[in-house]
Amino acid sequence: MMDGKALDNVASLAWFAPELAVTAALLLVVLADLVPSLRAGRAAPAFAAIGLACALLAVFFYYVEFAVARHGGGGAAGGGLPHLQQILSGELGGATPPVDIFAGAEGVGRNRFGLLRVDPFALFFKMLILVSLLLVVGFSWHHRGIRRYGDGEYYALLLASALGLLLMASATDLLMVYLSIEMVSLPSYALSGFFRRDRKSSEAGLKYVLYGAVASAVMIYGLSLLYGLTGTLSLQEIPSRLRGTLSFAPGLLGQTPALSLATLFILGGFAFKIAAFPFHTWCPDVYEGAPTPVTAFLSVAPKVAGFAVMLRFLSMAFPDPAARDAVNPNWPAFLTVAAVLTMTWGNLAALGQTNVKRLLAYSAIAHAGYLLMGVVTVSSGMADAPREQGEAVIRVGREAVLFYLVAYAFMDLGAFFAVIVIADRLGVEDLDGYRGLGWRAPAVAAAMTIFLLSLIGLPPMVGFVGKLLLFKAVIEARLFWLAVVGVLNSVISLYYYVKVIRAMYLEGVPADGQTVPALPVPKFATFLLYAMAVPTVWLGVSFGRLYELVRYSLTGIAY
Amino acid sequence: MIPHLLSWMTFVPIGGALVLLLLPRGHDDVSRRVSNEAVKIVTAVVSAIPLILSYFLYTGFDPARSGMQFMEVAPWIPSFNIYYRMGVDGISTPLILMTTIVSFVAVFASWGINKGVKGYFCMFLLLEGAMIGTFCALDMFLFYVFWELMLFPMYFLIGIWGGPRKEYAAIKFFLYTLAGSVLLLLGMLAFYYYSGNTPAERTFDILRLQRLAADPEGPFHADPAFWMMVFVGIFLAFAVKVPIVPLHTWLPDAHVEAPTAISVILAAILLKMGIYGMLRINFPILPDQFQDFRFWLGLIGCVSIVYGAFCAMAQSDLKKLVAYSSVSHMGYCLLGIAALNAAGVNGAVFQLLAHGMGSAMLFLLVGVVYDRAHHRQIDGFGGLATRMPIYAGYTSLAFFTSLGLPSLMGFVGEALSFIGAFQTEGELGSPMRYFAVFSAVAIVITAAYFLWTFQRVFMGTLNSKYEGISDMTAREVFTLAPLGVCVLLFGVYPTPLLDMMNVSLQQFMRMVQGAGQ
Repeated sequence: MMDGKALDNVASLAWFAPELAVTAALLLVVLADLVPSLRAGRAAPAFAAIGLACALLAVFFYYVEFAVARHGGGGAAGGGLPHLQQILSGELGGATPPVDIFAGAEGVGRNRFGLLRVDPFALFFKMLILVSLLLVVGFSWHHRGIRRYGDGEYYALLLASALGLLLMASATDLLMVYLSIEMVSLPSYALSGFFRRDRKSSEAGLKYVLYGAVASAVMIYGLSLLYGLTGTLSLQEIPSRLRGTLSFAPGLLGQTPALSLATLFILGGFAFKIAAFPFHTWCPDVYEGAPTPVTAFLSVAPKVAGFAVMLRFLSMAFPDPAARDAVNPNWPAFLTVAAVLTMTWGNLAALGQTNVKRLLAYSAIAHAGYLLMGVVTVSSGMADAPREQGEAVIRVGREAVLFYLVAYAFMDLGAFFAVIVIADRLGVEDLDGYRGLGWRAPAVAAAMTIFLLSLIGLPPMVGFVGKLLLFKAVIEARLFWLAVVGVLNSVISLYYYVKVIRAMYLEGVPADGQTVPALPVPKFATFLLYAMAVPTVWLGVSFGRLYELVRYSLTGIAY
Repeated sequence: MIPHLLSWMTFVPIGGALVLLLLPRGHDDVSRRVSNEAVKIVTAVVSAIPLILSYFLYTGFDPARSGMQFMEVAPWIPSFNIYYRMGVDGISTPLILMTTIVSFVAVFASWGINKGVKGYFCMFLLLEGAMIGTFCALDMFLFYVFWELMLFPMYFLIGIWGGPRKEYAAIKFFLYTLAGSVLLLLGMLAFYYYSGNTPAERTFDILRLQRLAADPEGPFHADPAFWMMVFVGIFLAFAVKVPIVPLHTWLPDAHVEAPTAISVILAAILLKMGIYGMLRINFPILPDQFQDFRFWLGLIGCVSIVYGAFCAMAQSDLKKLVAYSSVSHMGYCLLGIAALNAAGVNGAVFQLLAHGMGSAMLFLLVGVVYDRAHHRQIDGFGGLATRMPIYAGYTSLAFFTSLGLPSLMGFVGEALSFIGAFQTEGELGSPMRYFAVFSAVAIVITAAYFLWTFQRVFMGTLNSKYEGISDMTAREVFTLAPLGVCVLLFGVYPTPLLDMMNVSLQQFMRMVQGAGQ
């Protein structure tokens, strides 16, 4: 890992454009809500979309800067577009030092390490987060309920959450980790309860708050323990402090019980964000009750950012996961248990669901479990292997996680958007209401089928490649039993995803000669659906470039 | 010779499926009827193309050469050494020929479909392309993609256009096969990981994996217990498709509920995928494990043969009878391969073809009578021969080849498999002879149930309900005649087929000798 020089607060702003753009959009949305003509003209979603698009552009330029310009030897920020071709063709550069920002003002409270880090890893996640947020804005645009309850508040909350998500992807300081997660959580609570007069929505909001408060308390307890053990908030400093100051006798929870406990609690906080065992129980109720665009948002964006912050925390705080150091908590064991329980529980609970939103909520839990498999590609068996080999295996796991997150974002957002479109046209979210949809709205049903087949993990969809990479990583880590658990889970999941396909195509088939009334679907909705369905298939057939992108994005990370 | 012959054969049907989607849908009754007819004609034309191309495959294929022919290699995902590799040898070529013939015939057997026509033929063509692709693929990744690509069209074809319990049958088929294929996926990843020390050396190339297996110092000989697990996993993946007893229970359900043409495809081609996968991947890459497993393979074959035959005898539904007879007939293939001598292995692959032709005929014939009587109860007919002489003739041909009457295709496959099993050398010789003897009992049972069925349906006094039943139409004769000709021709003169596969099978036998020999 290379240590970059941390920039002071003013110089940091040059690397803070995406967050600034989102903040500006947030302020504009709030202000526009005060002007009646702008409110009637639906300025809020437009400002939100523009702000997010600007942020995305900025992130993209930074990425190009890392991948091409800086690698080519210096050069100022923003030498972007000419290198677009290079990025698209997958000719990415070698490792470049990350940029650490917000290290305090000169002289005042200056520390050696910044609060945030800008590197390809963070930028990759920011791109994914911003793309999914843009899609969520697209889903919400014509949503009747959201318009009724007030555009301004909705998009302001969404943008506030977006700001938190961007910070999560960059956070390298324990305090920043905590604050950014809270920054995401608080608006999310309000968003889930956004339909104030809807009992289910209010219930969702309240449940989310309660679970969130517990998870947050657990996490901050873990963070404070870790701070107490090391005396530093900076993730970069933790390994050296741990090595320097701690010497414990082996105990029940590994060699360092306090550290293990701290890690366990912090991971608990992350588990809440990604909806993994044991902090997954909020998920079905919140997903079912929340407005569906919010559900789509919750099922993807916080999960993506949660994995970003988890991977960064693990790789920076515990850079030698094969536990050769005496001071390593046994986090792979914790997460392995979590992975197995998460996917198994999610899949088994999904089997009996008849509400499609709720079904997808359980499926989102199961996918968090699959993703965790990629994080734990470290086994005790690897301890004897040379360090390089161990690191290579972990890297393969991380690549799989990043790839799968991209796949998951497309297919899961797509599936939720199909649910939104159907609910908008038919007013149903139950499986019964989906009967015969394949014959009434062929375009929507076909797109939904693509998303579901991808969620199952069938080729030639991108979900298959994602699962392939995850299983490949698990096998390379020689966790064969985990791979078997994973594939059996895939088989279980087939049953409930196919239930939706069955309702759409196998039931309510028109008899010979009988015509069914076609369901009119707005062009914009169809366009958005296929904007996600086409990549779902295309990336499944041709995933080489995406994989190279993922691989490059991990170069700045310890392993 | 046509360049990229195999790719054309694979992707013309898949492209055709997409073209079908673009055909306009009718908005009133007349235009809808026109559009449905157009869809059927386009499908017939599209599936005729691989059939025509398979003529060039047949003439261009050199049976004397060992190794792969018509090879096509192109990089696909370089980061993982995934290549688009296609090629055929003496094992896959006859299977591809059968696929194109049976698919073409099945289009005409589907002519009566009149709900969701576009969807049906779209799925059908997708399935055909995936089947041909599976037989051609020489890269594990590509193989797996085609293998799985067969699943969801099949699900829809059974689930939408099937019989009363279609939903149950379709999901059962899907679950069983997917449970098998995920094991294949894990096995494939294990091969990939152990095929090289660095990512750059690793490969999904089936031929290279086979060569690695031939090297006694190779990675697949290092940890026998681990590789036995992998072997069994992959074996199960293919065994579900064969299907072996006790993993066969999806088959009768799927067959009974599927529409006629899909039963035909299922029995004639999809079941062959299992044995083909074993011959191409499972056994040659893990020869040591295969040698240890041969006893069990023989036993499974023997049990499938006998159990399938007894089950068939107990059926009252014609389609179920044919389905169980498939289980029984596929057992011969396993028995022949377990014997691992020239007669046995040749017999096994010949049996694939014989069963493909025979079962396709049987299902078509069941479809013919079902279309008229709207039931399939064996006891519900009687004396049909007087009203349907042509039908009775074709049925007797199909029954006789299935029960192994000499001079028909079925006899050659079964006889060779038995001869092989009897001639098994080494310490396995004695149990294999027992298996052969037990399985021979099944021949008698097979003859019994087919003849008994023939008697109940065609002989005796005419059931008065079917006084006015009509004989086969020209379209039905057209679907059955090519298969009937094949059954007769290759029954009397099997040499062209045996010659075609002989060299490749010898190579297969050399590959699976294992490190022990």
